[in-house]
Amino acid sequence: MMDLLALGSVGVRAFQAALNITGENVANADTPGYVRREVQLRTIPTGPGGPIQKESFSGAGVRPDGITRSSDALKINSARIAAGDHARLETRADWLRRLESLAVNAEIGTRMAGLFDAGSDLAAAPTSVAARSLFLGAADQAAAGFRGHADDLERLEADITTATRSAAEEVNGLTRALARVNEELRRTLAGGTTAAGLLDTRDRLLGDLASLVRISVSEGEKGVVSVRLGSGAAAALIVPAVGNPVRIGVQDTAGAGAEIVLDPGHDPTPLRLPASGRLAGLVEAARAVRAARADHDALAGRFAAALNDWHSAGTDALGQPGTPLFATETLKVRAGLANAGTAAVDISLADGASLFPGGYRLIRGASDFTLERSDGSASVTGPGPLILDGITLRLGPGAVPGDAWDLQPASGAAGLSLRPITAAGVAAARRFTVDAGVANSTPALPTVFADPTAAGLIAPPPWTIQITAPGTADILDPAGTVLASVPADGSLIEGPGFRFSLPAGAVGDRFRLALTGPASADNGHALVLAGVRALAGPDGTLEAAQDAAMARMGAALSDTERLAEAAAAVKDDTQRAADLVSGVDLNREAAELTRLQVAYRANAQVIATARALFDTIFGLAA
Amino acid sequence: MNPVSSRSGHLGAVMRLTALDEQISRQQQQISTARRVTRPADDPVAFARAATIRRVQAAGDADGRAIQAAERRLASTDVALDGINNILLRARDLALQGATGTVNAQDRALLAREVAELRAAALGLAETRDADGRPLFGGSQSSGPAYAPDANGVPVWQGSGQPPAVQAGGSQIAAGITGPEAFGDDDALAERESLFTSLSALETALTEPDPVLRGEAMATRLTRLDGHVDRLATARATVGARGARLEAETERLATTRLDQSRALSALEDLDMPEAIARMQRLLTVLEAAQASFARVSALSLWDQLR
Repeated sequence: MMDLLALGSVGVRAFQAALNITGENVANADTPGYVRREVQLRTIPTGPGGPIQKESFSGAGVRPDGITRSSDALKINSARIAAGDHARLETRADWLRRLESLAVNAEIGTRMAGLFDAGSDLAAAPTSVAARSLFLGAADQAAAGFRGHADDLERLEADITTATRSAAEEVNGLTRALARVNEELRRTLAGGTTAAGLLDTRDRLLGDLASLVRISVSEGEKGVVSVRLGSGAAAALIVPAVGNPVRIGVQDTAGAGAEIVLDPGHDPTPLRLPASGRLAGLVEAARAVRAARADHDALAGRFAAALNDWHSAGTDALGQPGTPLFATETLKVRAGLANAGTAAVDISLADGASLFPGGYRLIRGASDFTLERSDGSASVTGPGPLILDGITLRLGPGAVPGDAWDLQPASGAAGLSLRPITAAGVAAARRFTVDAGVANSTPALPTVFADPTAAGLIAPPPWTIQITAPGTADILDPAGTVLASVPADGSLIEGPGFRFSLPAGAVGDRFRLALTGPASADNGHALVLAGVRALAGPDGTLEAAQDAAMARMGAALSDTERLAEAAAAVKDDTQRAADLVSGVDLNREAAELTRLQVAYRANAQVIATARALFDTIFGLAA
Repeated sequence: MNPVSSRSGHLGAVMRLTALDEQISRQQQQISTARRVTRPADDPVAFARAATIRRVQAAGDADGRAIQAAERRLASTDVALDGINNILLRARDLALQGATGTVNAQDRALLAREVAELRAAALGLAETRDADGRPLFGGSQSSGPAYAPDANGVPVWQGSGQPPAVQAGGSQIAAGITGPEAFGDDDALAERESLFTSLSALETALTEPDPVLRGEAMATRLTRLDGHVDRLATARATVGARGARLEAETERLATTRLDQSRALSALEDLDMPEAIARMQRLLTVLEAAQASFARVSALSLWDQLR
């Protein structure tokens, strides 16, 4: 009877515990990272039936023998890896999308085409001030496009670096938390609710960590884990089973941009990150942006060089040789990290200023500012404005003694700007005006091109050139004096600052050659711009190179998006497979609850029966 | 497949609904912009191709504008040359009248007066300017007169170089003709004279009192005038041929533009009926998915527990 009562009471207690756990499961049905728990019921052993102890007929009942978490380590691991792969591609796609939208909105190709089209309009109306101004406007637009996009790309790279730093910090936070969980797990009794909760936390932390970097996990006693970055024996250990985690950090390296290093505080070791996780995606995105910046700078350099060469070879409306169209250098100011003041620095560069390649330093002294070359070879001091090497610095209020600024010359796309050129300064005309006599035997004209190295010993044009014998011509000045006798057979002749050749005409053919004067309606040089546009470099024409860069960018993004889509499918599948084991299914819990409730009631009934038996016995005694 | 009553099953179902939503939104964007390619990643090759075509179109438009300006200039040139041609024919008539012995000295003086007027008119026409104010016959000269009298009062061409050219297809076409090409130039050694000199000489010849000398001079004048008529005809033919080439080029540009628009549309445009049908299908699927999701998640064992 006592046995029956004891059996009933342990049974009720055991099922109470099982019901509690089911209740816990239901309560946590929507908690991310919660793993379904189950109570393991064990028969209580009856004790040894020895020679002096009578063999018991009944057992000692049931007891809850700890909580098990229904999880499958392999499935969870593959879900973790798939989530990391997906995070990497999704991150990369995210940043590449921003890169693409910046590139599309910068409209570099459209702006370059706008300049060339304005050049065609200029050729149609070379003397029109409107056409000249519009051409300069288009040139300014193109330069501003290059400059703006360069700034955008620089900001984008800085954003990625910031994101990388914070991702690295997240990794460090997670590894610290994991090390603490390891410690707790070692102290906690296995099989309890506390242990189960800790293991849930551990799995969640591991999942979060795996979405940042590829990890391999080995599990020890009581669920204590050690985590390596990547896989294989050589992989760096970031969370040891016992002891403190190893930090990772981001380090700026010259040329290569931000780099991930292990143990940044003590012994920085560059890490080759496995291609998985958000951090890897960020590193790849940074690489893509750096490549895009290099492309953009190269294109800007080519563009400026081509347009400057072209414009310098013409003659403007004042009869002067054309000047370069674009300036290619500027100064970038970086305020010192330790600056306590808030003074603003405004820079203007004189046209044609030649900057010191090593850059400049601006320092606030006790009362004055000092601007000096970085090697100290020249400096100016004063309250401002400061003028040095064609740089004019205006300084706002709010500087504190000791504040410093670093000024570095920037070239490439960021340094591109339209030089101060007036409408009359647009060189639409050819450098030389050539015409032929009416009665010439041939419509061919002399060809002339500027060459500063040429130093023919002939007085400068205007000239009249007359063919005096087959293959020979006289060069006459306006007064009719013969200056020289030259071959007229198409061979190159050296003149003062230019080279020319004469067609082989009949005796008596005449040509005139003069430097183009002011207010020429000649549009020959503007027409040459079409040739500059069509000139193919190593990767096609300027515009084709830009198109190709855009297409490369688009292809990289669409590739990444496709891969990310596939990775998302894998991630969903593996996650589902893991959840099928460890997730809480409410219907199943409902069924479980019903079953356990019945068992509980049955055990209660056992107690009631035992009591009834007692009552029967007590009744006999009365 | 996970049970819908579990968290992951629920999340999975919601995610599928979201994915459908996204597809519908993308389809809607394509339909509302009527374009298949809106960013490089949609189709990198088509995007680059379309950018090239759009650029060639814009360049063609600029060329078209330049050709129109050149056509206007050529048309003005032709009008001026026509006027000078009429003047020349009238001068020839007057020369024929003056060459006959029946005209008396007083009438010849009148004829000479008219020739002087004709010469002034011809010089005026030779100074005609285009829409931008450039002399039509001044070559690449943009300001100042095309002709100015020298110390002896003989008009001398002040221009230089070639008339502004226009890019048409692969070649450059001069939009006009220089003064010497149309009216000749003066060269005593080569016995050449310009139209204006010929008219001056005609005026002088008409007032020559000696009949023998006058007869000889008038004969020379008539030959010269015929030479100028021929030259002017050649000049007008040249101008006309250049105009015709530009017209052909305009036509070619228009045809090319049409072809390019077609190619652009093939690259970028959306197949509208297909897109709308697809949109309809997606909407149907979304509705069905929503309804079935609501039905399935409403089924629960918990409702049966009493």
